[in-house]
Amino acid sequence: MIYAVLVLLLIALGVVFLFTIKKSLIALILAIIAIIVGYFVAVATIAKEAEAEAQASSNPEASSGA
Amino acid sequence: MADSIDVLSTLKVVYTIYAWIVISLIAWFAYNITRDGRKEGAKPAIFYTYIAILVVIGTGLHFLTYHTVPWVPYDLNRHKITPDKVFHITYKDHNITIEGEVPMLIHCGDRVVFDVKSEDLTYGFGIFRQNGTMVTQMQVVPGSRNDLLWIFDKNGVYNIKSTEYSGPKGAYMEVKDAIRVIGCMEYDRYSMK
Amino acid sequence: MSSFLERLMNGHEGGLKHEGMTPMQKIALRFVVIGLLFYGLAALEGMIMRLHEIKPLPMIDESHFFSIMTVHPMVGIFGSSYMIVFGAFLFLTPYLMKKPIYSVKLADLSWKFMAAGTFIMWLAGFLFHYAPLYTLYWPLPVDFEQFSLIGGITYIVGVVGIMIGTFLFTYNIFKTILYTPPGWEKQPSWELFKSAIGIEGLLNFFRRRKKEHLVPLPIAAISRGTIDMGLNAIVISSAGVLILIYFLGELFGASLKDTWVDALLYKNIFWWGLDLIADGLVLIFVAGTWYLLAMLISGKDLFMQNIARAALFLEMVVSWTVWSHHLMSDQGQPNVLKVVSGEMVTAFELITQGIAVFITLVTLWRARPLKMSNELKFLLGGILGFMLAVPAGIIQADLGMNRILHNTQWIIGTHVHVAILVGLTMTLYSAIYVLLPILTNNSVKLYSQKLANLHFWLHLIGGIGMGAFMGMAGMDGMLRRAIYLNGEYSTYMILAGICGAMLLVAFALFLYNIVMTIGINGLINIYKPATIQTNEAIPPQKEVQ
Repeated sequence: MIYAVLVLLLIALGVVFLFTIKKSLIALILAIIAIIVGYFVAVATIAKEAEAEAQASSNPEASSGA
Repeated sequence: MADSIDVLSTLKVVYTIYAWIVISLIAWFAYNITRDGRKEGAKPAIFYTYIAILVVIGTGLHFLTYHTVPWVPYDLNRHKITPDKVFHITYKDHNITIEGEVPMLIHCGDRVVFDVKSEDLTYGFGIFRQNGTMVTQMQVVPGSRNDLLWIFDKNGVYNIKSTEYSGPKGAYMEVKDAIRVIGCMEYDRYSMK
Repeated sequence: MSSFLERLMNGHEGGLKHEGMTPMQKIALRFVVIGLLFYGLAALEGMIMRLHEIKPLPMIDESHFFSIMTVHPMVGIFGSSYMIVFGAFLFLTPYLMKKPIYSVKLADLSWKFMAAGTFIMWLAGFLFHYAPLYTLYWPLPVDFEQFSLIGGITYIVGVVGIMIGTFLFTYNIFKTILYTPPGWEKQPSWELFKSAIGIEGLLNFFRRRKKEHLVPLPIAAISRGTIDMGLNAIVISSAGVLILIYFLGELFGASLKDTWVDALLYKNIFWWGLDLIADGLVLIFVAGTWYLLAMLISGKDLFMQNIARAALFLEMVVSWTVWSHHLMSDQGQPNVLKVVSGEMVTAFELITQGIAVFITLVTLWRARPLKMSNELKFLLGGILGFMLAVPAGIIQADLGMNRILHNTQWIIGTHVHVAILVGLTMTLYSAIYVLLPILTNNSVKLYSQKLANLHFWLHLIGGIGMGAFMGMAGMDGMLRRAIYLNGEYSTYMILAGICGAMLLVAFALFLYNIVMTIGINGLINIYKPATIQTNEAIPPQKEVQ
């Protein structure tokens, strides 16, 4: 599940932001944008995964590697 | 000059009227929804007028308070205003320490700044009347400048309380009679000693 | 067996017939039952605090009182509201999409993680008096002079459980919307993704030939609210990991300096995340639920569907940019954030919520005359709750008003409790009444309509009354996170306490009515494995209207 990996990365990124950003409005706004974009990417991977699974099931030979 | 009692009295009246209007509206709707009658939806003009009213109320409130509530403009512009007096106050270990004499003596109409520093936790700085009503407040965040510019226009004696939770040890953080305002024509009838 | 005992055990007119239920029907009910029990716990805690605010109770000291105040909103939001919403949406997503849920196992794991996490987090307060409040203002959660390490670690373990349950839910919801079930014709995953989160709607604004929406309106609301839920879970998890790092440092004898974290910056990021619940997913989910309920109750299409979709998208974007209204009393906060995010963007919530109220009421109006059913009356109660609470929030999100209202009982009473107890909870009760026949395949008949009516009136009057009296105390200077020893606000607090008792009695009546309807055996059977093995929401060939 790439989604889970990306979510964990975003959580780690959040921790890094909490430790590193000091009194910078721009950095705060950029951090928020990064988390939003990152999460949309994470959700988009679910669509990608669904697309790939559908392709594989419509083409069982390819998916089984036969 | 309007103070918190005036502003909150207005809020009490306005919000109570509003609350009864919406309760009546829903009651009217609930009664009529069970009865047969005209069923058409709202015309676009009604919808867009309604939205326009919401926009006007939502944003208009802020313009209204900017021009009628005295502390809004001087809070927003306090970095450009030279204060007549600055009081330094420190919060540490759930204690409030005021630098200099207590009570802090303030002359009527003076622009005073309460410069409050926290050396450990997040606290609050609130000024309260003797009857418990709040005059003003701000958060006291460690590592940040916490400066509140205020102008008193009524004589009175005020208490300071922490308005933010800082753990069970901070449940009763208060300095009684910490501020004394003198020299005004008018007396704060809720805060006299 | 007496008729009372017979009914208590087996329910009204035979109670719940669980044999024909699908796994998803059972899982949804598991969520709802646990959610209601946690609601009862939160209500009980609320009542203890109400009594303590009238006159401090001798057996409760400060650390105990504030530990109750810490777990009360967590149990109420995550243990109750989240649980009921998760159960409803995990069922409704496949039901409305007319496709099987992606994973029954993940759905089942979600409620277990949520329930266990909430319980463990509650234990941190109950056993160890860990009490940094839900706000967790830095560096209070790592103040080892006031709180024990074991209490803190227990709390964080509980929060981790809740967050895992939340992420499992988000994955399952999105995957269900986007995947192609085995044996089905390939689903357009990317197109569904764009439609669900609102990109298609946004592009339609610039297109001459508008594209048709692939997901129904309630699914659009569920998706957009779930985005906010995911973002919120990331922020809470990040704060949790940060706090855990300090705990581990303390545990291994290497005390970390709390000044490494900027308290104001932390407050900004944390409130940005928290607000995605209060001003994001709650408002979006509630609007979506109102639309669905209005369509189901009226049997008609939603009035002004396109506007409703646009408002849902706007609400999502607004929810990302309003957090600064929580920091209007923080003098270190830049003025630009206070004015733009705190005042102006927040004012948009009046508009988005106003649109939801308008569209829901007009949709119902077009179907008159309607029977005043339980679902309709609770829906109207929920709408009234938000009509009262949202303007109260807009008022306090003003630089003039916030200076004299921040952290007073006005905020937590007139705004928060009216929004949650009257607005959100009554909407959830309406959804429960709508879903009960669908989830039970029409096998249960409500034990007592009189009790349902009594529940409605006690809850409505108690909720509005409690908010009103707390608000009045707040306007007279009563703080929200303080204890008053000398009965300073006792008149308001007695009145608020009476209203709180009405809420508690209302819940007891509702619970009794539901137990007598379903029966204790029926409730136990919900937790037994389903006899039908399917990922479909409802049993095959048994579509329930």
